[in-house]
Amino acid sequence: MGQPRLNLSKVHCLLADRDQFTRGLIAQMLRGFGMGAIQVAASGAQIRDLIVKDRPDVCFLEGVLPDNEASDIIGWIRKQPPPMRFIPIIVMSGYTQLRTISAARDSGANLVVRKPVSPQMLFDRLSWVAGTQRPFIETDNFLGPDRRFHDIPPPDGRFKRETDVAMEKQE
Amino acid sequence: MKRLIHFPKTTLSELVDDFGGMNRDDAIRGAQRELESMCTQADQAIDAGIAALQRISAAPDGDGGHSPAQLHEILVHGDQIVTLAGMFGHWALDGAARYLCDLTEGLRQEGRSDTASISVHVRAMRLLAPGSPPLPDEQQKLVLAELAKILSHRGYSRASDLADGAGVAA
Repeated sequence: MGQPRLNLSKVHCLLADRDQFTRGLIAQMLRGFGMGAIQVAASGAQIRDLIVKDRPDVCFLEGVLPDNEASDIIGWIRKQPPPMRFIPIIVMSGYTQLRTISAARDSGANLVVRKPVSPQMLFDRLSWVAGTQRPFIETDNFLGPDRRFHDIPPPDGRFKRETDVAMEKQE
Repeated sequence: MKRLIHFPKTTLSELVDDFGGMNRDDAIRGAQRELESMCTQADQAIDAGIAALQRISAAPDGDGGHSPAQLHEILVHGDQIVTLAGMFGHWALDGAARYLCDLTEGLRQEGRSDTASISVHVRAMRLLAPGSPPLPDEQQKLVLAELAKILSHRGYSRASDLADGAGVAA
């Protein structure tokens, strides 16, 4: 089987990180992948504005921003009318933000990754998010992509809740 | 309980399948080239981050140590250094910065301060930073082992262990 091939030239992404230099680094990586348009944001307020105005095709959000946690922003995105609510969201957690990742995952992120991110890791995760059709679940207390990976797990099989593992063992 | 299941086709998945694009190796090579072009700037950002930590470490403004606001600032700078050191392969600095973050988070949660321990971590980071005289690997490991003892003495947890427990990709 050949390598996965992605055409990102027409993809418009929103990249949010509180640190300007880190934003620049990740944006450069995405440009290296051939990403067509990259908009950057440094706060939750900017993210909300840009999502409504420009409708990005994918979002990369830092786990904690100066005015919001990613989980708050994801919760807001998932409550927007379709198709905005279905935007794929990848959360990038800084080392000190790893304590808040469960909240990001449970708020409806498609994937949570740890910083530092390498080009390999970023490409594989983006490729997985773009290429994996996951049902979108809407319940009273959860709005987001199905967190149970029955068929195609993420590249390293992670991003599971402990209960998912337990469910698979029972099946 | 309400339960709806949608099967949305996202614009991302439609666009990436268009004719053309890059295969994995070319895309990664392209991204690495872009990163390498920023290596010097990254070293400068690391240097500035450590300088900021040194300033905070040397001037505690709280009651008997660093204030909660200063501990927060240490975490912000430490986090940025972990990201940059990890991206550019400074493994020992990455390790020292993680120990600083774990120590600071532990102190913050307990509402305590430990000026001496913070200062030791920041000095170790300066020692291990790009631009400082290079240390042999064995000595770098020794520095990290000593920092680990401080965390262990305090009994604070490591953020990476919590992430492993939650199943987040490294």
